[in-house]
Amino acid sequence: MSLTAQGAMPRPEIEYTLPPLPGQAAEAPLPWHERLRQHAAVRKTAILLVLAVLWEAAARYTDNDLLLPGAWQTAQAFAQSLADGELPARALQSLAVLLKGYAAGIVLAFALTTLAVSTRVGRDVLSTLTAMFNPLPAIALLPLALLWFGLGEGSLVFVLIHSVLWALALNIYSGFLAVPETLRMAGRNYGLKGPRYVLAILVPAALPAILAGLRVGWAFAWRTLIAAELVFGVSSGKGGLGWFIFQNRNELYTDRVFAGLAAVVIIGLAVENLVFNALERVTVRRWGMQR
Amino acid sequence: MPAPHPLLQVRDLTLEYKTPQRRVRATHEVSFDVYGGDRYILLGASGCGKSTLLKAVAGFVAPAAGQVLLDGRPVAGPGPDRVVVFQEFDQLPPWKTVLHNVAFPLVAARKLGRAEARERALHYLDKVGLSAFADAYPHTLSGGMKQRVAIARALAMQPRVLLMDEPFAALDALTRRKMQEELQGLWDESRFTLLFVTHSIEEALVLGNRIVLLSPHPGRVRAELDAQAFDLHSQGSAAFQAATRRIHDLLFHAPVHTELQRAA
Repeated sequence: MSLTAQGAMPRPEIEYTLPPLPGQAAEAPLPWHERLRQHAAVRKTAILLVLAVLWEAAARYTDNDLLLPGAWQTAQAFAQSLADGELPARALQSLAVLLKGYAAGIVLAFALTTLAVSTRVGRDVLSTLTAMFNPLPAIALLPLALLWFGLGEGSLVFVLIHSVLWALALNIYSGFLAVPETLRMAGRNYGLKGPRYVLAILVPAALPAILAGLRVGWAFAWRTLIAAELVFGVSSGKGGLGWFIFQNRNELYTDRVFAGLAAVVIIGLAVENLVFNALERVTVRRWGMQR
Repeated sequence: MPAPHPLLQVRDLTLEYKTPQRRVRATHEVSFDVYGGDRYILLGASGCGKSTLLKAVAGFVAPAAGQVLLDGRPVAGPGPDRVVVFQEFDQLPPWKTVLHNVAFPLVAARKLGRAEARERALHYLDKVGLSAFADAYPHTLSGGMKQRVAIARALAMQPRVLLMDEPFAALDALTRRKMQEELQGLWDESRFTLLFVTHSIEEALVLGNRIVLLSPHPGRVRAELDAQAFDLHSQGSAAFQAATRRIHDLLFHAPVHTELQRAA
């Protein structure tokens, strides 16, 4: 009858009354060097400093200003170009063209993917076009663009759109596809349809992928623009950073070439850290969609 | 006595879905009526098409034959008059705080302005006991709390029918029990009409006043039972045990056998 194990002593049942817990131990602040290491900016600056030191060492070892000017010499050339206003003007010129192409690429990518999620034909169009054009380097289209749009901003914007559009569209589309079915049904349950549905449900739900696409698109655009400016450089007396680099190479101002390259890198780093990281922090990370 | 006109009518509903290879029949000529204030349960083993049935009522799945009538008018797609609480926790947009999750559908469905939507959302969050978490994002909540938000969101819409697709199935047993009590409490307060899908016989008996049993492959109505007699406190009683056994036999045994059981 009884299920008690044979030979075991009967054990008494016990109920405990729980006394109130003693107060929590006071919080202790972390030591300063640990707190300092929490900051990504501090860590990244340290990495940059190490790279600069290595560069300077390599330059001193080579000892040839024409081939490899050092970090310090480049910094001086950079400061000088900055002071005489040439570098900022060139950078602004490049950025203005870049933003035009980038914005147009984004608009087109959204239009194309919205079409692709709403119709089957749109989906086929998108997948065929991206498969065709994504592997095609934007710079390879430049000769053609010059024929069509002439020596000027039009050609640049055209190749920029090409470099942004396909990569971004692919990312947005795969982001849309990954939106959970339950979330889609919840959105349709609200009575949302068409563009409102895309804007209120699909876009925020796919934001991690969209942001990744914007990042890739930005890098592609930046790269394409500098390369394109190196190829045909100047139009109506105004050239961008690529032209600045090309011109100074021709005149064997290698330190200024490096200063121009540094400007490209610095703008890239700034956009990455200030714009995209900040965007991520206030959106997908805050929402727990990305760590 | 039920009202003379059923609120929701499901008429000879046949539902099918296609895989790349074949067409699968999920339900076959299912009919039932839901009256205002009902807690109507669709009960069946997995594969009986009960979730597909609920999705058809919600308007996500178009019928292959037959129809779904709400207030006598055929259902033609998803809409805010039939709000669904899903089983999955990812039904809450993660980019909206708890408060906005509840308020947004009201604005999106153009039922209320922003200020009124916010007020009503706060009211229903209070009802499910989540006022303190109004500004939290869903990823910081536990599974039970997420389901409470989904329930508050659905109730705030004040739908004609509240549809629930195994809303407590992904919760642990203790939380599930608590949520059942809370749902019962909410119904006692506002007497909404509920269509509830479950695969748990106990949950069906405890929550429902009327139960449809569906046989699997494809889903067909096996029986329609009354569960008025049972509530959350009758779980141990002999009558409850007998009803559980009866449903179990109806669901899992051959019809002839069931007739014998019923006679006994």
